[in-house]
Amino acid sequence: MTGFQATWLIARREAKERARSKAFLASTVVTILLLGAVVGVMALTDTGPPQYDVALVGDSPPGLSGALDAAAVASGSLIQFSDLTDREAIADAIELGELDAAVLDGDTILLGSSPPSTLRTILEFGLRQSRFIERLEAAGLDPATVTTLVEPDRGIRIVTADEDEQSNEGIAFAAIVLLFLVITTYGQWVLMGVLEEKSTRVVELVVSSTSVRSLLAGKVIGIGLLGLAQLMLLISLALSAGWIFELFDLPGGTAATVAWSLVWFVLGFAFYAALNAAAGSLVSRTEDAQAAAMPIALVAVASYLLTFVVILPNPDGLVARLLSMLPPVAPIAFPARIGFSGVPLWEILFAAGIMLATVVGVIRLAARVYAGALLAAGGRVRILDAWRAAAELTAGR
Amino acid sequence: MLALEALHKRYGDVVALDGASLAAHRGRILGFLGPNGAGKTTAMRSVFGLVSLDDGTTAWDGEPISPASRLRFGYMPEQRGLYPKMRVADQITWLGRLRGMAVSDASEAARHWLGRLGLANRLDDRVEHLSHGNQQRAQLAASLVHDPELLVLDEPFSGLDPMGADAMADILRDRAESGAAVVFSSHQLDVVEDLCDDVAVIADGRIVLDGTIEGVRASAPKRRLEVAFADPTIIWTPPIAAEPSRNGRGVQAWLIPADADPGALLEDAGGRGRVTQFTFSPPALSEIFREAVQ
Repeated sequence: MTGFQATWLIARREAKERARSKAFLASTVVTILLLGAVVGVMALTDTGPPQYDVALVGDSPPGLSGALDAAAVASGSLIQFSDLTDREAIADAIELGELDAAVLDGDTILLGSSPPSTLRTILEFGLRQSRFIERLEAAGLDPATVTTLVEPDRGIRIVTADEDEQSNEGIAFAAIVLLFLVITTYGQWVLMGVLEEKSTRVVELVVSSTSVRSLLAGKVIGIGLLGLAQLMLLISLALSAGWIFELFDLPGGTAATVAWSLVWFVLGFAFYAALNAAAGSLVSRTEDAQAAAMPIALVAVASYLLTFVVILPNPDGLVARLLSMLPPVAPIAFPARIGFSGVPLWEILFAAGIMLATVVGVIRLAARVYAGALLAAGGRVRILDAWRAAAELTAGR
Repeated sequence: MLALEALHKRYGDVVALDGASLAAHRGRILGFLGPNGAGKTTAMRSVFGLVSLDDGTTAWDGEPISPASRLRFGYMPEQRGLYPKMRVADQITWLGRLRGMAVSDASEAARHWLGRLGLANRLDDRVEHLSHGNQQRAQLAASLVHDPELLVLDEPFSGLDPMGADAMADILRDRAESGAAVVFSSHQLDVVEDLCDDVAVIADGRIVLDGTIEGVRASAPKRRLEVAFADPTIIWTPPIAAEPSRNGRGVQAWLIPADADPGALLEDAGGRGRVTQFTFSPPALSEIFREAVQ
């Protein structure tokens, strides 16, 4: 049995046993239900394109209704023509909000007190267009020619400069919150897992058959894989629900944002999980666990706040660029920076490199503290004592 | 053969091991005795790398014990521990695999041992749902699943009912017969005397007595003398240095020097009245133990 095989066995046990636990199943089901509820609310409140009720009274140009329809479609809305013809009734209906607008005699537009600007544009545009057609025909052009002249021969595609970016920002925002939650939640699992092994003493059995480093690495990998699977399940459910119900369009940059988020999830999880394992190995009671995990939670929250307060408002500034290189901050800051603004590839790779080196260092350090502290039975262990004990242990082997 | 040589371990001001040396042989059962805090558990943990020794060596078959050789050892720690939420058979199988068994072998062995220990119908129960005694059986299965060459058990008989103790003794004998070296610690000296081939007594971190059970008893500096008279009111005291010992109903018992002459003593006792029982024998293990650790 090599160290890798043992690590993999331990990782599989962690993932399998946790996936079978009621707590995990419950949390997954609750999250999926919440997600379903959000999608449901979005689907219910999404009533399709806005519809405007408009009355045409008096002498209107012949092409008016057609021109209004075309203008409405072009702006992504619908016009419903009212049967009302009595001018007073129309004025009343507009006042009551039952009718959105009326066109009187082909030259007056009657609107409510706060008309949607789209409607106003539609009406003005439609009226001008119909008058234009009227004048062209009066000038002797054949109506069929007029129609071909005013109808555009191909669709017009409108590209807004910031639409893609905005949608990416939404995804990046969701990614930061999700990453923070997932990294801290699964980090807690690692801590509690270490504590459980210590308090039940099963660790003696495991460590007598493998190394402390395999146990630590296996635990972190197993919980991390399970977390990744849960995360992917949720993301793919959310994306497919959005796609099925046409709630949002996926912008072009999404795949990259999601992929980088996953990379940073792995790095961030490994970093925080290893810290949590070390913290868990320093205590032997659940009551002490919170105190031991406190510094780690503080670092995580501080990184989260730094990301929102300092980095996101000015993601390309020098301060933001330097801060986001810090290992505790990077896993939260980088997905955000990538989503909110372009980050040069070298910068991402450089930060990922620093992060990877730090993770390796932290895992080695945590394994050492874990080794020293696990084997010292009793209450809280001082980090320094654990370090010394581990040093002895390593020398002894 | 397991060989622990000159083990030293100090925890702060407390000396746990002070030069203890110990050997356990294949095919034999070694009883490891000592008062609480004498260093038994520390010595056993050192076999599994769970103690950072200040000095001394641990060897199996002449080679220093390595992580690889530990895969062939079975260990039942003093503080029992299995994953509470894991299913019993899954857990034992997993531990077998961790020691290098193929999944099918591990699963088969787990079922075999759990069945033999009376847990055949609890295979899919979570460990936390087992009674204390059944958890202890599962713990034993965990140390046996990979058919270890060396079995080290810390207080395996504590907390077992008489049937459980019999089953445990049967399994230990069976393992030794099939060639494993078996070491266990216990405070139940009668069990040790019945079961073990060899014995080692540790006190204050040092081995104060070791050898085969017969050898230890034969070489003891004292002998046990038991005398009973037809008239139970007769009180007789041996005419040599003797310390009274625990005695049965109507029997007077002493520990006397091993070189005393039993013939002369019987003659002296006969002078007081008719002797109905006269026994001159090596002392019981419990007496030797008390003597050794004082």
